[in-house]
Amino acid sequence: MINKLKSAFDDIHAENSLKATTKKFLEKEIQQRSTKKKRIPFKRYAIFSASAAVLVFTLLTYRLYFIPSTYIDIDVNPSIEIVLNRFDKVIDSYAYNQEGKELLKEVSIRYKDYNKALGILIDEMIQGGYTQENGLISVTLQSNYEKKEKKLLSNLETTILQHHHTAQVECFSVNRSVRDTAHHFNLSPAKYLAIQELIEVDPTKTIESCRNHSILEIKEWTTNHHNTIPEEAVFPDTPEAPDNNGNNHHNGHHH
Amino acid sequence: MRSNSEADSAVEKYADTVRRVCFMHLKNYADVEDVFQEVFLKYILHEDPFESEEHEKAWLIRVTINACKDTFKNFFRRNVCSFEELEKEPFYIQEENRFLLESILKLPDHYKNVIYLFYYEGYTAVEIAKILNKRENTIYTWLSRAKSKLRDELGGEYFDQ
Repeated sequence: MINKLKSAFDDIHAENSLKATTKKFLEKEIQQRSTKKKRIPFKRYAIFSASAAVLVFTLLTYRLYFIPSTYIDIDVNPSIEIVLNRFDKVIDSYAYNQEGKELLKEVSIRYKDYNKALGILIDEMIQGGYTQENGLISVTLQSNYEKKEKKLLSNLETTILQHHHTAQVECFSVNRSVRDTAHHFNLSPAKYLAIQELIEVDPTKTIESCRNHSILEIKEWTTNHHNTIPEEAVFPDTPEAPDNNGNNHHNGHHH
Repeated sequence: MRSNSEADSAVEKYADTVRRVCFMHLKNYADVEDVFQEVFLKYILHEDPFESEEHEKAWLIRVTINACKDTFKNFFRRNVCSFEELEKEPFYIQEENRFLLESILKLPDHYKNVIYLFYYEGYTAVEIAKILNKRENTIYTWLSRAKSKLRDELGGEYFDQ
């Protein structure tokens, strides 16, 4: 049987034409592929350059994305700072007090648009019972782009009122030195300025004694002192109180 | 990539082997041409050196069987080989071998492969298992069933001669 099988398969041969066609095909393929291969270094160079360009672009964008450009400080009693990049996305957040820390643990605002992040924070403050029906929400803003400040301030106030219709909203911009000084005392700029106002009318008060009180309380103390001291004694020369936040923009509104 | 002379030499050396595998699986000459080109193209692009001639031959057989399978998978080319088709083969087949080849062609593909590799190429079951990427026991089973089918087809006397 083996011999028969061998004999049968021995009859099968590759035709000369088949071999010739295959050889011709291979010759052509080898020639074409050799030409292509010679071009590979350029192709590789092009791919490498394109990859390098993409990498550099990505790194630059990445770096640019994480450069802080605007600081928004929200003070209800939780005192929080959110840091925005030039695209107005939240790239960092910081709590000035324990309530702020607890609040930040509950929310996810990183990489969100500032309006959305602010909305989330306000909602969480309402849910957490930090702000009452007519509670005061103080927001300060310090931006590296002055032109943006006005627009941002207006948007911030609108967003807050959308989430808390009955709140007293106070939005204003501060300059960098005020923010730095407030940071030095681990206070939001709004609270720092409110304490400074109180100290002016009641020198017995200190930053430490006021630190753990809400801005609303601090402001009420200031108002009470104003009411107990004759006006001319507090502001002997000027009819109105000076703006001590060092800024022109003041979007403070009470509702 | 291998050179022109290496390609020519491989075609001369292994064309008959590749043709035999094609004969078992393909009935269309155009398909045979396609498989030849595909197999030898893979050969020239295969840059790793072969351990030996046997290794090289086994590699080519495996690539050819796979190429034939791929061709067969193509819906438009799915055909069953018959004796009529055998008549059309361009090479000369002796009269006494026609009956045997016809019977082999009637076997399922995996049986054809083991019969060819075992009886004609002289591979052991272990070697066939490596070429076909199957378990050794599977090859023994296939061999036994293929022989049985062939015996039924050819008749016991013819088979045992």
